[in-house]
Amino acid sequence: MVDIRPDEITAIIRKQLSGYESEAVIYEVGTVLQVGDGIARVYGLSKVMASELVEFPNEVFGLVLNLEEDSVGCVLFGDCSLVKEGDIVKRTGKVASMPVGEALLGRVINPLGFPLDGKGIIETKHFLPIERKALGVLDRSPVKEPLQTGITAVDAMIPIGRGQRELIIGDRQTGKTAVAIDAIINQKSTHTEESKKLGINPVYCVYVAVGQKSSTVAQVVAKLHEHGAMDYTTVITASASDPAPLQFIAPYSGATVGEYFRDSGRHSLVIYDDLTKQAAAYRELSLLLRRPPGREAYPGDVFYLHSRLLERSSKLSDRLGGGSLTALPIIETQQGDVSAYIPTNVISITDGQIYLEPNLFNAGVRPAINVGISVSRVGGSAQIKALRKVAGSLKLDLAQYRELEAFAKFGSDLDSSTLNTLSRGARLVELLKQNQYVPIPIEKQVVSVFLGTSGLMDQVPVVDIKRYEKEFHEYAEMRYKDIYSAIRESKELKDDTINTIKKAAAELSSTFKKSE
Amino acid sequence: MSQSKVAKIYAESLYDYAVAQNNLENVITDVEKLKWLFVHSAELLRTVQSPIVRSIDKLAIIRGAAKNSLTTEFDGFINLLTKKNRIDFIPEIVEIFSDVCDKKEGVLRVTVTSAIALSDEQMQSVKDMLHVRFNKTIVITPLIDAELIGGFVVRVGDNVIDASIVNKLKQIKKKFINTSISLN
Repeated sequence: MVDIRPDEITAIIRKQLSGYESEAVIYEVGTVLQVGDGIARVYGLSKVMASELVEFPNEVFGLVLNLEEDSVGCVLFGDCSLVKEGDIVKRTGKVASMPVGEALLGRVINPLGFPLDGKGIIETKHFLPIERKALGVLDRSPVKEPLQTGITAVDAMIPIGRGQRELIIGDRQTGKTAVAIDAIINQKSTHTEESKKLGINPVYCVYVAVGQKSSTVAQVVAKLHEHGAMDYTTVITASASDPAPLQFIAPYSGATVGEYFRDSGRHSLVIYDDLTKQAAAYRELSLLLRRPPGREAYPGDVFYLHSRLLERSSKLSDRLGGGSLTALPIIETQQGDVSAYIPTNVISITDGQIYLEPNLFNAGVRPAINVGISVSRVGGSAQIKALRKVAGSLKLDLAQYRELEAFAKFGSDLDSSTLNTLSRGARLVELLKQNQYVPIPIEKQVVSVFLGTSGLMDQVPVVDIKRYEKEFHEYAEMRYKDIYSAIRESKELKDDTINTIKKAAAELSSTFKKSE
Repeated sequence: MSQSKVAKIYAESLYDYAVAQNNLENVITDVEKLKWLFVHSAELLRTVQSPIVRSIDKLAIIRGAAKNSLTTEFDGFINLLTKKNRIDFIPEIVEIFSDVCDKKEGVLRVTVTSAIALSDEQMQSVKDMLHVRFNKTIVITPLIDAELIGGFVVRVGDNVIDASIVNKLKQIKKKFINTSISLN
């Protein structure tokens, strides 16, 4: 324990006070006319701006959303029982903004930038408004660098590029968050010295939890810590018990944090988990502000709510530093209904979707990605050559397998080519299964997919596929290490590498013990 | 609190007319009288705003309530309102009439809150300060609030000039919270 002397404390206090100049403060005020349900109507505040932050008594803050002829409609970010009719409301003169910067990495904060992890104040000089305008056409460039999720099924068939917006959609309990968390964990590889040498820029991550249980968020944070992913990640949370306005602004805060990295020429990945709940929070406060309800009681601008958020993700042109903001929004569907209002809106805004199905999940195909209807509209150009080469036949084989699968159930006599397709398909499905929190490096993905599509695994029983894959990687790491380094460095699958893989596979197959 | 445009336009016209007729003082007395009546008789207010009662009857009721002692200018004014079917606005017009008068005459009403009652000299210096700032005739409503500890708070419409001790303490508190102290 440091021994503290009273005179030191006096000196410190004197030092702190030395900068203080007493002056009269001038501010603008209004009076609360009506308060309730997280909404306050304020008389006065005649010069207030839309989306300005206003201060109520007891340190409750509010956001101005409605400017009417002689009153102002505000949403409250705090407990509305602390605000009474007749209270004085002060203008702050600032639009809602939040701290950004490196100091946020490894922190858990609320959407206004206040820390929730008990690690003290966030020391940063940079503040950016929560709502920012998306960039124009000239400031952007096409998506060209890959953002690897470490999930073979995604990286091979639904590749995501830096600056893309890829929707993760599915029912509850289908592993939507798991896909997103794996993507965050996999970015760890971009922060290594080796990646730096290969010219892969680090990706900073933001995980925005909207309307989730605090326990779930705590679990996610613990998992990220466990895998060393918190070093480059910020978690923004507005839990289910937080007021609707906080849940409504949380995704915008996340985008703001990501934009700081994007604008400084770096790369960021923002996960919005999930936008369905944000839309519900926005519906709640829109109805309380008496805006007219539309379809499913959502207000008319619910499309704009999501489009202005997702438009902020972008790949910048080289003139602006070439940074990127990739967005992985998550949408939860009810009973697989993708034609509901919010899912169709977000599907139309994003550059593709990863569709997760409960049937597959229950059948043990995890991640439960339905590769038939999942697409990535722009990521293809960002995929590395080696993976693109092997993924072409993977898609085709799986498509044929799905078509024949229904037939095969009848058990009628099948010709040999049909049987071949079926057995290949079953092996590929098995190969694409992957455990949670174990992202696979891209070079291993290439080798695994190559093993599957080139028929090197056709003699391996379906139940042994994962074991064979694991043993192959172990064997090759030991004996033919340059397979991986060649793919990693050249990003291509050259003929001599293919030959080495074939050789290794032949050697392993001769000793591989099939399970009974 | 809602100030409809109609009420404002009529109130301004009434003011201009009263000034032109050189009878502003009496008109103000009438307006105040009516305002007092509306505040103290909810029944009268309801009747005047009721869509069921005919305008002619409303006029007669208002005249009767004021005991037929209204000035000719004001009587003519409510007669005009009746003809134009705007008599429903009369409560609002009398409500904002004093604001209109203040605006036309360049009067600024401010409240000055202090911890202890200010002396006349202090009041005068506050008045002078505000006069320099806003260039208007200042009318002060003094208020006492012991919670301010010292100093004063001036409220002018939506603007507040806060020179109270309690606010300064709050600022010092904020300053202390927002800076990190290192012991070395």
